[in-house]
Amino acid sequence: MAVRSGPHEMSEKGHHNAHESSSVGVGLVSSLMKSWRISSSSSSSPKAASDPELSTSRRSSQSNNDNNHRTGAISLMNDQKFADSDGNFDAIAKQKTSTIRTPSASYSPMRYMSPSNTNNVTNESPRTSLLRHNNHHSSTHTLTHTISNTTTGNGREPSSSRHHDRYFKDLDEDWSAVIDDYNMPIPTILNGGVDSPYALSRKSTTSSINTTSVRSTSFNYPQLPHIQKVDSSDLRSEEELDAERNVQELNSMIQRIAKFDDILKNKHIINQQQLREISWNGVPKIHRPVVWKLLIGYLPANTKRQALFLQRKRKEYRDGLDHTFSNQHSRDIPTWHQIEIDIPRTNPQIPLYQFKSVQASLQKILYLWAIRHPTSGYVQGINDLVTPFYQTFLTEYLDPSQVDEVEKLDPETYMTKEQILDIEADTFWCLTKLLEQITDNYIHGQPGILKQVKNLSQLVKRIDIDLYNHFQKEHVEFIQFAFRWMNCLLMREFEMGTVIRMWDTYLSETSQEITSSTNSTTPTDPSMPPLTPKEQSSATFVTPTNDSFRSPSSATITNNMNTSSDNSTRIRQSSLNEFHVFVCAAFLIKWSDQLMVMDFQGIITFLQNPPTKDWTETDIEMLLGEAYIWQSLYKDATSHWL
Amino acid sequence: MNNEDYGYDYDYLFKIVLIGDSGVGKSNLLSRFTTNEFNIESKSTIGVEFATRTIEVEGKKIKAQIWDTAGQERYRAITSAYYRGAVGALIVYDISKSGTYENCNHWLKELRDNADDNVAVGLIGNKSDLAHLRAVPTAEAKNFASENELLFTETSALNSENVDQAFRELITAIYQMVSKHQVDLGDSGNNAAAAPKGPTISLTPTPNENKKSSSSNCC
Repeated sequence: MAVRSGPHEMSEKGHHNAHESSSVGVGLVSSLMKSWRISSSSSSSPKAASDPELSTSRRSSQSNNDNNHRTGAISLMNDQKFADSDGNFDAIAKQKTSTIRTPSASYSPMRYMSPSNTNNVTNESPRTSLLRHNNHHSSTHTLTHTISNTTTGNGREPSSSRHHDRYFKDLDEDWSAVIDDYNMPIPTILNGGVDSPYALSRKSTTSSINTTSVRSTSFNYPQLPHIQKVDSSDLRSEEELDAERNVQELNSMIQRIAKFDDILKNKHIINQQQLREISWNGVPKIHRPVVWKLLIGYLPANTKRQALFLQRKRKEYRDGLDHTFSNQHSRDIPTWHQIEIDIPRTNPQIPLYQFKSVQASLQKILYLWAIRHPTSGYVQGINDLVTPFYQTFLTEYLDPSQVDEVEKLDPETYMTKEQILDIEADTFWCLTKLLEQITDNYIHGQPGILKQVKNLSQLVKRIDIDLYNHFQKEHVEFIQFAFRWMNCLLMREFEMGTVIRMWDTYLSETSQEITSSTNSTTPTDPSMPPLTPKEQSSATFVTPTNDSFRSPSSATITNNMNTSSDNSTRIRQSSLNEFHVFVCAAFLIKWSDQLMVMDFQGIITFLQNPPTKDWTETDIEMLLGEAYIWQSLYKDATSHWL
Repeated sequence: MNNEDYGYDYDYLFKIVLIGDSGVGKSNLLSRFTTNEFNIESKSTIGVEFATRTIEVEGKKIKAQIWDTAGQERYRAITSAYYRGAVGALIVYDISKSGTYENCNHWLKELRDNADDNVAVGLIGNKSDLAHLRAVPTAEAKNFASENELLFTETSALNSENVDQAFRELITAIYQMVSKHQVDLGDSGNNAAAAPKGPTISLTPTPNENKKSSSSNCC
């Protein structure tokens, strides 16, 4: 069904929500549109808590801070004109509103403390959805006329965004003050749909602003956040604000680390669910190596078994290497050669990957993985996927003060040969776990990728029909640019630092299903196969000989044996792939306004090399949050076509 | 960016594909030709990448839309879809690696199977700067090229030797073929027609083209 519809149709569509899951997205968006500006009257609707996607589970630890702001939002939202009966959507909108209206929230101690951060992160999303809808409706003004006293024109003129930058260079710390003056017409705030989410990250992401502000300012949208800035920021110097911000960031980091400590330390069984929820919003550097191993399902949640388990898996890896590089095994030359070609081309801009020791490690890991997974074998791009693990696990062996230097130091200078082998083993097993979930991406014909590309196009068709049509008109096919997005999990599109942050979320997202099912049955480790160490060792290291190399059946057996639970793997598979498609959609739509004015050549050239050089963690967090919202909006609908 | 790019101001648009084994330097050939750049730190190509340059041949402005494909065999199922609508192709090997030369046969077959019958093909021995490591004699490759009616050039993307020439020769060959045949103007059944202005050249009758589009419409 068509997602796009005028506001006048939306109310009708709303009636179908209960019956037609595919219209949930529309209904939700329209409800959001309306509720965005409406009163608090329905904010306390009990439905809010029952919303499956955006309910309190993810934000149970919503801070008082936020609550305060929410109250502020309530007092502010005095326009009942578009009162919506659907309480849960309203609550969502309000939540978003509160976070959007509070740039300071992003620096609040709560930022890194709870899954509610998702909301901070995602605060752009409902807005964006609204914006996009607005953008496509000629009758936008019917929704926004009530704020016309604060918005003159549609803010398209670049001057407005310049104003915006000039007046709102500082993030407003004293947010409550904003609320009082909300209704005061302030002529400088021309751009109704000003990009507050970008404002949150403006400090560090000028490029993102430059490229996105055009689009953002083209929307008419009830502007909430920035109005007071002129006054309040004048009261304090920039230095003061910077200092305060730094203190807040430090505090939030400390609190966040404490939270991870709380989950990880002195526990017999680590609560995986809790860990996933908190990790979705980013993992502190010092916890990342352990947390990733837990999230991917490599390290047992049962802490008492961890040491023994690691010992065993590391030995298995060594045995595997010994076997592979012994006379018993005849080298698969094409595979070895392909990996050999790709190793020097892996992250060539990062010094770490130029060290011989690192290149040798990666070569071994990739080759071993390839010959153990003959149905897929080594496929270019897997060499990219191995590096975040490797690099992250290295940091475990670095002095905390040197963690940031990991990309510059030769591991041989701070690790023993044995330790390097341990790192290789951990990397190998985690890569194996990751690839298990996206096997279809790399088997012959790469059906997993083709399906994802198709899903992406379908999703964009629903979210941004104008962009979709423009692509059609220009004969741009999604596979022309999105193939790489799927094949390398967007790793080629971002710098390593942002990729690693992205993987915090991906790894949390990926394993979600399996954990919940595991938790509900038994608290034991999901990654631990029900085999004795000996059995398991022989199972996972059944070495495919060259004879079996081309045999799909033997390969299947090997793969199944490698998989602790086939069923859960399948669930996880869909989970990672699906979320990734939403991230890709959010990524693509981020450039929508620019792409709309480009021709075929411009579009392909742009998407081949998108301007993400300066992206920070904040940018990636917003992208992930946006994807999360899209997913919650479209999840039910997508079951029909994803 | 492109020193000779006339933007929309062109007479013909030719779609050209770059194929060949992994690591022979396809991407750098492309960047050398289109932007005169060589990137020693380039990553492996995943899927396809794309660049254009407009040059003048016999008084006509011709825009070359060049698709650079991934070399690994696993990608062939995907990349063959990109042959659709191509009027020219360059098969690239590395003169210092005989295996990459031997595979040119496969690539030629791949091309014959998936691309247009009249597609103009050039054979390129790249990395001529590695003369001291040469594993493929020039004469042998030249022989192979003439047997199969391919253009042949040895190039170095590193020091730009012959790169322009190789592309120009191919583009000229296409142009001559095009002017010899009655040109099928305005065909919109292929990718090369994506650019809004200027006639797109297709060497096949439209019905055939349409059949191809539908069969390889993978997304």
